[in-house]
Amino acid sequence: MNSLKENPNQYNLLRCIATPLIDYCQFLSFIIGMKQSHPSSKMLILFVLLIGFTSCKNKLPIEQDFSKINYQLVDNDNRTVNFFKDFKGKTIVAGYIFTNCPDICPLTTNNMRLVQETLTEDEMKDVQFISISFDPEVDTPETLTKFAEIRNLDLSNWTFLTGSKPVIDSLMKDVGVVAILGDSTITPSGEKINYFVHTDRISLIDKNLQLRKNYIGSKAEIQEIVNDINALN
Amino acid sequence: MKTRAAIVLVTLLTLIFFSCNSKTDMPETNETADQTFEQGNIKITDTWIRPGAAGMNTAFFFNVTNSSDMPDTLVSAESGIAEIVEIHETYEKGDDMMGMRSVEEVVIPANSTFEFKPMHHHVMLIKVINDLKIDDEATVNLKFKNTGDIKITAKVIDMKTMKH
Repeated sequence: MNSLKENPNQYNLLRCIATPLIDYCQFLSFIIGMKQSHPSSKMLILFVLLIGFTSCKNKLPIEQDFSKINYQLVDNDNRTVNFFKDFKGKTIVAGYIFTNCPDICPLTTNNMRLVQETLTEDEMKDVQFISISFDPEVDTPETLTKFAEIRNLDLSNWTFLTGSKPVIDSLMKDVGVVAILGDSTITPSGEKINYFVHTDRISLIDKNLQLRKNYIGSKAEIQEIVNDINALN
Repeated sequence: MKTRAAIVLVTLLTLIFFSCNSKTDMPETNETADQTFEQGNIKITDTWIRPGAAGMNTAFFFNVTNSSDMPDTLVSAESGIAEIVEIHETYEKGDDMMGMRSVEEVVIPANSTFEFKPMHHHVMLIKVINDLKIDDEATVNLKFKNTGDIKITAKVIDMKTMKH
C-alpha cells in the first residue's frame, strides 16, 4: 500500500475503481432484495448508475494545500506576481521547466499546450496554465518570452514565471520539485550551460489552491488531464 | 436472479472503469521530412528539429538504419546553426526525475535501425545562432566511423505528439 501511495496515479485509479465497486455491491444486494416487492426499483437502479458515473468526478483527493503559500515572482511580461495567491479562483495546470532543457521540458510544455488546445472554450473558462522555471539565473522574463514565442504558444491564459534564486528554490521545495545540477557544456566563449536532473512534472491545482494531482510532465496523457480539469470545474 | 445481478455488476464495472480511465491517445503526427539520406550501408530518415530561439538550445532527431553486417558508430555531428553540436541522451533517474548527458558516440548495430528520438538519444544543438522557426530548414553533418560523413537537411517541425 505504501508503494501505491508513493505512486499517486495508480493509487487514485485503484481508489476510483474500488470505492464505487464496494458501493455497488452493497446497493445491488439491496436492490435485488427489494426488487420483487418495490415497483420503482428500476428508478433506483438508474439513480445508482448516475451516482456511479459522477462518483469518479470526486476522486481527485487533496494532495497538498498551497493556499497558505505565497511567493513573489515575475512573469514573462516582467510583472510582479503573487504565486499562488493571484491565481485563486483558477484551475491551475502548472509545469516546471528550465529553458536550456532541449528534450523533457519542451515535451512537458507541449503536453500543456495540447491540453490547452483540447479544452473547449467553455471548458477553458477559469483554467490557467503556468510554467515555472527552476533555473531563474538563466530564465529571465525575456528568455521565457522567447521560449514561448518560438513555440507559438497561446499566452492568453498561460503565464511563465521566474524569480530570485532563493525564492524559486524555496518554492520548488514547497511544491516537491527537485532540480539538481547535472551535466554541463562550456561554450567557446567560456560560458557554462548547466543541465538539471529534475522532477518531470505537471500539477493540477484547484480553484482553492489545493494540489489535486501530479502527472509525469513529458509522458502525461492529455485526455486524462482534460478529464481531471473538467471533473474539478 | 444471481446471473442477472452478475451481468449488471459486470456491466457497471466496465462502465466505471472506462468512465474513470478514459484516455484518448493523441494521434501521432508524422510530419518529419520524407527525405532519405543514404551513403553506403547507412540510411538516415525521419529527420526533424525542434523549434529553438536564437541563443537557446534545441535538438535534432532522426532514424539511422544500418544495413551492413557490421556495426557502425556515430562519432559526432556538426552544424553551422549552433555554437556547439553534441550527441546527448536523456535518462531516467528514478522518482520521476529525468536528466540529460552528453555521450561520446552511439553504436548502430548491424542490420538494425537506431532511433534518435525524444526522451532518448538526440543531437543537441547548443546556443543556436538564429531562431529555428517552424518550417525552417537546417543542415547537419553526421560523422560515422565506417561510412564517413552524411549531410542531412532537416525541417523544423512543431512538436510531435508522441504515443507513450
